[in-house]
Amino acid sequence: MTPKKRVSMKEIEVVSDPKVIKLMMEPTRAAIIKLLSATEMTVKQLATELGKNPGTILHHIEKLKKVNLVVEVRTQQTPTGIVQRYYRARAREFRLGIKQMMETEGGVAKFAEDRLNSIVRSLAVFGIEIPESQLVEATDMLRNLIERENDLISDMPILDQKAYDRLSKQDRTDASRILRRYLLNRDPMYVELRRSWHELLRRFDRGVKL
Amino acid sequence: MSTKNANFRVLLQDLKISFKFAVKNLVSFVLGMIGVLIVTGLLIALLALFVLVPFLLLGGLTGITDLILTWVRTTQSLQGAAAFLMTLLLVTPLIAPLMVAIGALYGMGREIVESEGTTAEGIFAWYSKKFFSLAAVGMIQFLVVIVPLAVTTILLGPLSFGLEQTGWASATIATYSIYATFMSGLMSLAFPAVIDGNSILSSIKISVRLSTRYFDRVFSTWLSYLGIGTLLSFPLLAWPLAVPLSSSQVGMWTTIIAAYSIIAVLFTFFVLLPATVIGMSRIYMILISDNLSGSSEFFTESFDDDDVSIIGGD
Repeated sequence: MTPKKRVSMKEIEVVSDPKVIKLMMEPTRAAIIKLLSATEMTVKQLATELGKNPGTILHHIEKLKKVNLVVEVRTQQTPTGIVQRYYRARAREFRLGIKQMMETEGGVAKFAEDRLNSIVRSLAVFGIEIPESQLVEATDMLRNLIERENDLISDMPILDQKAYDRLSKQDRTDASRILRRYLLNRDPMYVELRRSWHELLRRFDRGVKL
Repeated sequence: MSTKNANFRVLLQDLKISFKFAVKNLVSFVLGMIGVLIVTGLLIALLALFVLVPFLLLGGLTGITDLILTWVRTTQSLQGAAAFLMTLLLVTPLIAPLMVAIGALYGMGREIVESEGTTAEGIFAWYSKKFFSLAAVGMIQFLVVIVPLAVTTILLGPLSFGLEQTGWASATIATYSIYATFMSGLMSLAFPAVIDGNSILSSIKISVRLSTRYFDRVFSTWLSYLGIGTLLSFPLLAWPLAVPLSSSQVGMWTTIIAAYSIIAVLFTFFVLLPATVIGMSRIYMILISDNLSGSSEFFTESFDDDDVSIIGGD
């Protein structure tokens, strides 16, 4: 059924359901989510933007609607007679729950593991060279840090949702960033995890310049 | 009056748009329909094989012949409703793939309604992805429209259709026609609802709810398509009455009517049916929407182009 009332758009959503994570990892669906996180669009607009058939887009939209990643915003009749629905993402930013990704079958866990390893190795370009022997420890620490961060920011408290929706994009983004930092810094567990992570980085710091 | 209700101008506009899109997407529809009919034929053949192969393995050709003869004898020995129900039992599963084919056309219709265009191969995606829902909704529609015929047979018995009872027969046929038209109208939005991702029962409920709430819009359009179909078949039914069999012009009339039949059948299958599918899908989209706007009321949620942030990082 078409949703009966306008659904507020969340600033950030951490996706923790392994099935939804798997669904989001399909390239066309990932591209649709990215576009709909930025603006509301019709099937026709998405099809043009992604170079796909409207039918293909419609099937993907239906799947995304079922798992509540995408919602219908409004319906519009055009002068040509078509009746197009506008869709948008449920949140402005989606993060995949790293813990759940690790538990998901079908290559998702491998993808998450490779991604973490790749991030840790990439630090070398800035002068932090973590040796292979320490790679497992480093990726575990990073994983725990991300997991805790996701837990804390996935449900940011908003007192007045209507007022929040009325904010300009810049104000909303900047205020959200300030609040995220505040939430993270007041959590002892996160602070400890971050301290340990930074300690590890310092151990292998071969010349990060200020 | 709501933009969802009907008036003569809205009805004309609905019909005009549906026929315009049907003609515009003629090639896709023709190719899609031919393709899906082949698949449907193969599926029905496969279903028949599932029934026949065990008998062939167990009893050979004689086994199948015996099976058919037993079926015919049983049906002949049964009276009225029982015979009808026996036939229904055989026909209903075979109808399912055909219902899916019709339902899948609504998938093409939906693509057109939302984006002006469709592709022939698109129908196969709907056919496979919505197979069971479309089959179930199609069977429900079929049974709801057909079962009263069985009830009528039980109540009136074979005599009602006898020559002595032509009055009864006419009244029964007339009543049944009204019933079938009404029920098919009530369920005319069930396939678009399935295509929209609703479950089997929800689709039926939505169709009934929208058809009763917006009775004027749904039924005026539905009856118009049925009316056009009836008008198209009218010359075929009327010409034997208009031209006496002894007439010397029978040969010429036969040729004219044969040519007309071909054109009428092609028009019905490749223009009228797609137009109906597009029209009903479009009406579904309009009636189901909670937040419908015309192009003049166009607005876009303000997503600022200027993406400048003064607070960095996360």
